[in-house]
Amino acid sequence: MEKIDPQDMSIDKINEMHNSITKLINSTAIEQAIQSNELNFTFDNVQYKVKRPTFALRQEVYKKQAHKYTELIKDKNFLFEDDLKRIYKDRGMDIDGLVKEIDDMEKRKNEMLYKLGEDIKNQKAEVELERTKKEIEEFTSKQQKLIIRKSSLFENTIETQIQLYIYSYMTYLITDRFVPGKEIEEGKVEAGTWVKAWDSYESFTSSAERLVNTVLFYASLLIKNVIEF
Amino acid sequence: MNIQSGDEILDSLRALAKKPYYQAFFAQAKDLSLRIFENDRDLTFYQIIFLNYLSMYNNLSLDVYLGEVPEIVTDNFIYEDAYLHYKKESRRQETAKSKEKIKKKDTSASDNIGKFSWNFKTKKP
Repeated sequence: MEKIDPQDMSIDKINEMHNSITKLINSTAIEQAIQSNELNFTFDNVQYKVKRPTFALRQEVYKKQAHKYTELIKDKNFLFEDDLKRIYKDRGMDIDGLVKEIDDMEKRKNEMLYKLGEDIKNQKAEVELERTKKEIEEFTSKQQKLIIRKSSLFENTIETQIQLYIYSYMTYLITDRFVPGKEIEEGKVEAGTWVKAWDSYESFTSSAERLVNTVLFYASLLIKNVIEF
Repeated sequence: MNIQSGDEILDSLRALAKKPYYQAFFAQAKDLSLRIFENDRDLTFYQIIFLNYLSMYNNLSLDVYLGEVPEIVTDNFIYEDAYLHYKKESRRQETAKSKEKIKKKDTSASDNIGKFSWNFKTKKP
């Protein structure tokens, strides 16, 4: 293991170490997370459990989705993606052009990958491979920026709002909290039980942000692609 | 704990699947009926992705072992993606070429249908 010289502890070095430790912790968390379709975790000494949604729970979410959709289309503050596209166009922003640019970049990236793959197979010099790799990294980062820009332009559309709503509603439905059993007599404790973590969706959304974010993270590992938006 | 983005989760899963422990596990899982996950049905999206990565690295190791590609390919994700993309695209091009050949053959055969003429054989004296 690399020895650390305390005299050489620049901010960059500390950040680099912090990132690698975070990566290691997160990778262990992910390893645990894929072991099962039911995840347990502790937050502020309370044990929580998120489980894969049943058919009945999914049905409940679909109903809520329909309800939320009706609510949002009545609200004039929210627009559909196509409406917003037209408004952006009037203001001189070409969204279709942006989408085309992203698609063209994807094609170009694939061409670069093909060339690099061919060079690897043909055992080209490592320096050359490394140069192309860097070009691809820079290109991908530029493309990512455009994708993020496009997503941020559509953050407040009806489509995005519904996605966010049903994602958090599903999280609320699949989270349980462990209630430890009471002490009957000295040394004897009743068996604990799992109950719904929150009585209502409103109490879930008004919980501490740190808890909500943690639960959303664990839930995302189980519910991604469960519901089609 | 830090909350990871979708891309970071995928990278972590990929790094896990690449580990010799999981590769050995995957290689033996079928023969020894080993279970990778606690649940054997109703897999989550990330469990399916993890299985795909296991299979991907299994194929990549095989290519390296057979000398199809030098070992440097496993140095980083970009090299791996590049080689796999090249392999897939080359195969697609080859298949398209052979389909085109078959199509040409079929066309020339059907063109000859109208040109068919009877050829009566006569007994040789």
